[in-house]
Amino acid sequence: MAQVRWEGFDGDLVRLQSQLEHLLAQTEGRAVVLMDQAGRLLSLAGDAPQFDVTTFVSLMAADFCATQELARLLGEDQFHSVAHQGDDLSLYLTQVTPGTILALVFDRETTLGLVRFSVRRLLPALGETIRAGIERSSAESPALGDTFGEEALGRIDRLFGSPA
Amino acid sequence: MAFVNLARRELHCKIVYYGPGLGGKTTNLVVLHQRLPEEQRSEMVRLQTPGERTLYFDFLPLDLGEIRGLRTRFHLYTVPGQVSLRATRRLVLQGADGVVFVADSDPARFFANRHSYDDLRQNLARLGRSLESLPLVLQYNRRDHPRALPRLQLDRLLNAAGRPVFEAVAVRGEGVAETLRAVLQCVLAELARQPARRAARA
Repeated sequence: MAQVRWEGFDGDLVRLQSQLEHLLAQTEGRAVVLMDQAGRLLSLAGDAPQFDVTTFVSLMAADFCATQELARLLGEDQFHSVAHQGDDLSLYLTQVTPGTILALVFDRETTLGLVRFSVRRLLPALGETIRAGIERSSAESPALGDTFGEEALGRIDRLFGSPA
Repeated sequence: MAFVNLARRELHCKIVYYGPGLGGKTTNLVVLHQRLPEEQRSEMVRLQTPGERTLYFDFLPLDLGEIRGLRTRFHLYTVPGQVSLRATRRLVLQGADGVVFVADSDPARFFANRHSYDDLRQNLARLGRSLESLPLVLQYNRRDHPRALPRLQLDRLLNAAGRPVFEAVAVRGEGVAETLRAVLQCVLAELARQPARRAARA
């Protein structure tokens, strides 16, 4: 059954954003992106709008999940992190909580060692913020409602034409 | 699972196109991509083998703009159809809000359809989900095949549950938008039944 997860409420989101920005400042990274395993963006800080964030997130999540399958094939519970090194830009990925992944984009101004150290130091607090958000998100509240669906389908019809 | 990001006022839903190899899953996404107005057409990602078979997935983001205060985005994925890529299909299936099963009307693909449908069920089970509780529509593609399997035969093979069915010739764009609309309708109906949260006030 499809379930709506409303992640991060008010204070949680402010805290999350502040933590990501702090991490970015500490590492002198270019961008930090938080996503779920299904490839959906939770939060970002830094230069991310300079690239296609939606595509970036879907590929990163797929990359990380594929790596976890490799770990299991080798008999490991998981690989805690993944790094990709380029000439100018590099990427560091790690799991924050089950189901959420952090990706940090950095350039030659910083080092993988510093990135890894800073991320590890932040992970417990970041995980706590996310868990708090998820917990609050499980509280009941009013429904999206049918009119939302009707309007969304109306947009689809305008894009692709009404059904015959 | 559909996901609302309050900070960004966004709703994200994930739709996965599943089915046997060379059945037309990628073609569905290519057609949708081509039909999008240029200003709403973002890049379609295709992770392929050198032989242009899907290796990991195809990905097409569909942005419907703001609806009741929420920027509404559907993420359309295909899985690779090749039998050996089962683990990859399971990865792509993670977090799906709805599935389009693209069946091939070619009689030679009769058993491939059945195997793929069983594979979908098994992959969902490994993710702790059931086919019965998932919004799903069927597309019988390649209806232009000279010896296309009768619809009733495909129904018996794949649709004991009476899911919505659409006949299609995806390479000509026929039935593609209708199929997408139907799966989104199922997903949105499911979301409407969910307890909504504070963000709905936005």
